[in-house]
Amino acid sequence: MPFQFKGRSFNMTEEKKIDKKQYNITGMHCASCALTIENNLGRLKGVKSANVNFATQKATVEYDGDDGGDQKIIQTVKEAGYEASRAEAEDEAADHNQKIREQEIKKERNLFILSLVLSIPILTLSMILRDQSNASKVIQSLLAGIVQFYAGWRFYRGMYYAAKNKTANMDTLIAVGTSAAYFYSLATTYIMAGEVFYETAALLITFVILGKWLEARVKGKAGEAIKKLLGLQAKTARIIKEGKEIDIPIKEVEIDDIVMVRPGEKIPVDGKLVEGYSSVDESMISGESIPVEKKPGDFVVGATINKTGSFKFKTTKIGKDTVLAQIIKVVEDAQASKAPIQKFADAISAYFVPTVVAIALITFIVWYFFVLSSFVAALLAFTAVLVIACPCALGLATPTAIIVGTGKGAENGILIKGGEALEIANKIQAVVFDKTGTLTKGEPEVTDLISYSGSKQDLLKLAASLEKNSEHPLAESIVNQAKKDKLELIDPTGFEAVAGHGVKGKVFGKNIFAGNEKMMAKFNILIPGEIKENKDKLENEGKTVMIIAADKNILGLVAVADTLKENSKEAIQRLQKMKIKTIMMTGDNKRTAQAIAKQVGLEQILAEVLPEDKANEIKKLQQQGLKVAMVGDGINDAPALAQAELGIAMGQGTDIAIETGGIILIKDDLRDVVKSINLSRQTLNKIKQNMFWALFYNSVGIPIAAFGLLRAEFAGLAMALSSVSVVANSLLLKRRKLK
Amino acid sequence: MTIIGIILILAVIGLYAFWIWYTKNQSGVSAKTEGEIQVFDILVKGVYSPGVIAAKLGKPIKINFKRDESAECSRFVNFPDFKIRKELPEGKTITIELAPDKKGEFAFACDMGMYQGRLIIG
Repeated sequence: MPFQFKGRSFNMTEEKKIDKKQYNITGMHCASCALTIENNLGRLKGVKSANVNFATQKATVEYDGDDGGDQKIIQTVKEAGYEASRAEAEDEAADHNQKIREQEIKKERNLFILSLVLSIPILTLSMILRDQSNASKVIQSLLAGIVQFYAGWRFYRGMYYAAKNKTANMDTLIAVGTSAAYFYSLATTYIMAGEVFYETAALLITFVILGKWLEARVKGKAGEAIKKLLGLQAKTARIIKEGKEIDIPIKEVEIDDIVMVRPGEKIPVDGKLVEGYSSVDESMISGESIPVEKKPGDFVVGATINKTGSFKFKTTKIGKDTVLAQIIKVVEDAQASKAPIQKFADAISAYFVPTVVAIALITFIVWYFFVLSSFVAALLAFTAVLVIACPCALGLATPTAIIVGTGKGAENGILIKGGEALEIANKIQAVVFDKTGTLTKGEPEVTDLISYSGSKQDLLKLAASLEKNSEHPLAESIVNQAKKDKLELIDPTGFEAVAGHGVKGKVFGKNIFAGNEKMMAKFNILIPGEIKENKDKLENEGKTVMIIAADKNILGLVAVADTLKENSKEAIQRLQKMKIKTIMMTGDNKRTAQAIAKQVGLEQILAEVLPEDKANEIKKLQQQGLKVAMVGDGINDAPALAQAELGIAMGQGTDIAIETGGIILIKDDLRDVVKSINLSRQTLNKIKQNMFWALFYNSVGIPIAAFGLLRAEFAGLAMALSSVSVVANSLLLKRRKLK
Repeated sequence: MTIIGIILILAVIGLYAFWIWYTKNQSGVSAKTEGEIQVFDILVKGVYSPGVIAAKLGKPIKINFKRDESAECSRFVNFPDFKIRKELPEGKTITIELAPDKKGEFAFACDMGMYQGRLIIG
């Protein structure tokens, strides 16, 4: 069946494929077992090869990919006396868990409906008809009994396990509270005279289950980001082996495999394009909506979608090393982390149950022995205190907000490493930008060549020969220019790099120096006035000038300039609007720095900073009382990123500097610095709102219940709604547009 | 009546104090060892059972969690000090490996802090 894609037609009918699948085998106790299975599988129709590995307890089987294959293989192994299961069972297990969870949510819903349906007649008899007859009491006791012991069984079970471990939990509070109401009513129905209040027990349980049901539903939504990320993963890859294209499960892809990708297909793992040309939609990884052009030599990222052309790539990263796997890891870790603010809630939780039980008991004693009210009134107040005081809302306040916040970040190409980073991002007063590669494109080009002896090409050849061993970004641009001009480079001898100064080495028997003014001063090379004037002029234009000298003579100047990224200016302006100080830090000289600063409107520059001093400069800012965020490319800025309160690493999609920085920006867009600060602020606000409501609710709810102002069943409803409202409030974050 | 009330309130306060004291001074269950590894089995059912576990410093720790219930609350276990959050699928045993480098008490809990446990490294 041919179909059209971007004006091209493709044939979808595939020739019969050979499938290669792995199975886990259990029950093998020696190498001969492996052989037996291998032989049995080999005899199966359609099986091309079977290989059973005793050490790994796995069988790899190649067979014609018809539908019944799986079953036949598992059956054959079984008949041989062993057990087999598909090795991708992990994925299936995840699906299975998902199903179990959905069933769980359904079960909660059904229990809620059942309790509600049973509670309505109880409520009608007791509150509306006010029927105090014996028959009415008996009917109520039966209906309430089902709610109490069927729907509410879990609370007794929970209380039992807690008691067995000499502790008490939430279930204890609910079980004791509802039992008090139910058993007292039971006594007044069958043994002694008095009022019944079955509706309290039944409604209470109904509301608590309602809360659990709603909570399970919304909690599932909060964690959707991870599910989405996991869903991005491709299941199979089409690799080229011995000239043939074969589809294999993604887990079997190895490094250096050649993978074929057709238009519209998902790229399975990370790699380097070797043949073909295409554009790739990387929005799922970077949040950037415009497809990215790919040519041989470019990196492609797993889970992104190939748009226009077919290409082959060589795999470089598989399994847990791929960009997607690392993103998932960061998001998972972040969602597991707690913001420092949460420690407070944890500390409260530990004392909660005993404190509530004590308050409830004292409430009862005060009502019964001091106020001399009826036993019923005292008991109801006791129940109300027990059930209103659920710290669940407090426990949910932080994690749900962090899960939603970090998930939203991930969808936009902003990876926040944890609650701590979120909380600090909120307090940032100054942002320090690394210049090269962060504010600017980081790919400087040679703009000027001034030679004082010999031709410009000779000067470039000499400079490039010396610089080709240097790892400095400026060196690369000089070498690139020489390559472009097709100059033949010479290997220098005695090459030496002087950090923050320049490089030296011997070329054509002469000592050649390339570097800044400091370099020249260090080796006592004088710079004549005219040359200095030329140099100053170039530097005033924001260019970096390298002085080239042979022995004690200056040969010429090489000027290199780096251009600004498109969004740098907007990002800086927006930060300034947020009253955040913007600072640029660079190893370049003051004039170059100033020229760049002027272009983007930076407030302060720190120029001529040696790599080892970057962290110190951050420290100096911190000593002025500023909370500092450092934005860098994560490799050479690592110490500064670590020193700053918040390190923001520019990940640039393929090479994420996971270790440094609290926030990683996948897209090469500085506006994401603003976005991540905004997202942190929004998330922290949610946490604070949640904490306030949870605390307010408990601190107000308990006294109200203790004073007998709240009927126990409404206490149960309030408790259920408080948890739900906290989760729902966190979910509102999802709707906010990230600016 | 008032006197009985006062006596009962004092009794409640006494019990409360005892409860707190008891929780704080619970000594942990010690590990079974598999070679160099200290292994704990924790059943997740209403609570973490055992809730307090004690291990020795310097040897790796394996904690096997088996969640034998479907309550949503206990679906995740958190070790905030180790930045670990793991899902505990119902009926499955999930192993968490730790290698603490200092003595002290490390709390673990479900997402909402309702299931609480302590790992004591001595």
